[in-house]
Amino acid sequence: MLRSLRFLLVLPVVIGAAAAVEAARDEPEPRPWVGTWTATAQVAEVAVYPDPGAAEPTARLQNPTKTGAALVFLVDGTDVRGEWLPVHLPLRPNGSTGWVRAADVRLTRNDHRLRVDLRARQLVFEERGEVRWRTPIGVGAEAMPTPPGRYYVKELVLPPRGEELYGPFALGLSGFTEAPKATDFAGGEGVLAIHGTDDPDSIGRRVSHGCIRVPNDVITYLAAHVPMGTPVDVE
Amino acid sequence: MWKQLIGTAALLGALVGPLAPATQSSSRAQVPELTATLSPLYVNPGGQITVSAIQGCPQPMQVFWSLGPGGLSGSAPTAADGRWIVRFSAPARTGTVPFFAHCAFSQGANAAAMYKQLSFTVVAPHPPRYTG
Repeated sequence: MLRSLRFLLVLPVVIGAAAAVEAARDEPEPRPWVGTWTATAQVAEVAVYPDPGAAEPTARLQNPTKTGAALVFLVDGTDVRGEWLPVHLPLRPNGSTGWVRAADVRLTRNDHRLRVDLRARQLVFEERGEVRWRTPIGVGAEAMPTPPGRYYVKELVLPPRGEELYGPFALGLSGFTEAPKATDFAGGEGVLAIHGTDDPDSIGRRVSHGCIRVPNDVITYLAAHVPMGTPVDVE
Repeated sequence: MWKQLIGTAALLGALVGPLAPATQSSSRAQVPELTATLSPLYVNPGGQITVSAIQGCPQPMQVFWSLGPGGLSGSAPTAADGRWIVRFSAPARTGTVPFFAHCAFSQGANAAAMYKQLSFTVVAPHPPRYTG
């Protein structure tokens, strides 16, 4: 009788374990979350090379930048163990990459990503690989489209008083407009940004010179939560 | 036979046991949460930040503060009434930076009180013209 009792007690455990093993076989292997790395310049000038150990740099970037912000890069990939780091560059043409000396920068991990869905005209906020929220946005007009590509947040700006065009904050991106008509918009260099707006009706429409317009409460949230170096994938 | 029954029960206990802690409530003692004030809330890289206690530490001790993992940190002795002021330069990197502080008698000692998290925002001093 006790043998039967023991069998009854153990049976559910055995069945449960077998079912768990079977379920694990059916499900795809869960991919571990891999964040990104931000490299912040620690020297007054960062030399950028075409390859690790190349004799001559292809660019020398000033730190701080012209805006007064610290120079930051998004590391390309996740391997940061070597003496050289592949990085995305805040330079034309869009998509530029290069190599910097690891000794010239300080690395910090980042668990955030922003995704700009041009077709849906939505900004998607992701944290640790999970979508936290999405919001309608205004994007580049037909003649001045927001160029697709991988960019990153390079600076946070508080627009001067009297310039409500950008709303309360602007996050400067590493990319540039590719529309000839917008390369010198308002006397600037055609740098893309995610910013608020003084024209809430423009949200959800194709109205900008390439920048990404979000509601003012959204840019305020982003200013508080998005670290520099956060990837921005425009798709 | 009784040994077998006890053995089976032990097996089940071992399987179920690890779930138990998740259902128990934490018995950790709560430390007081105090308030401080920080200014300015918006600052340029390298600008001066001042943080001061609104509610002082429970007694004269040290206040330990940091700007989060890998960020600037420091400590300062409190006044006789437990109040304190710390000053530091804002980081070079723009963005919003958290400020954490707690009271303790020494580095690594248990916190006698924690301060509510504060934050400030480092902004670029020369705003460019974006594409709008």
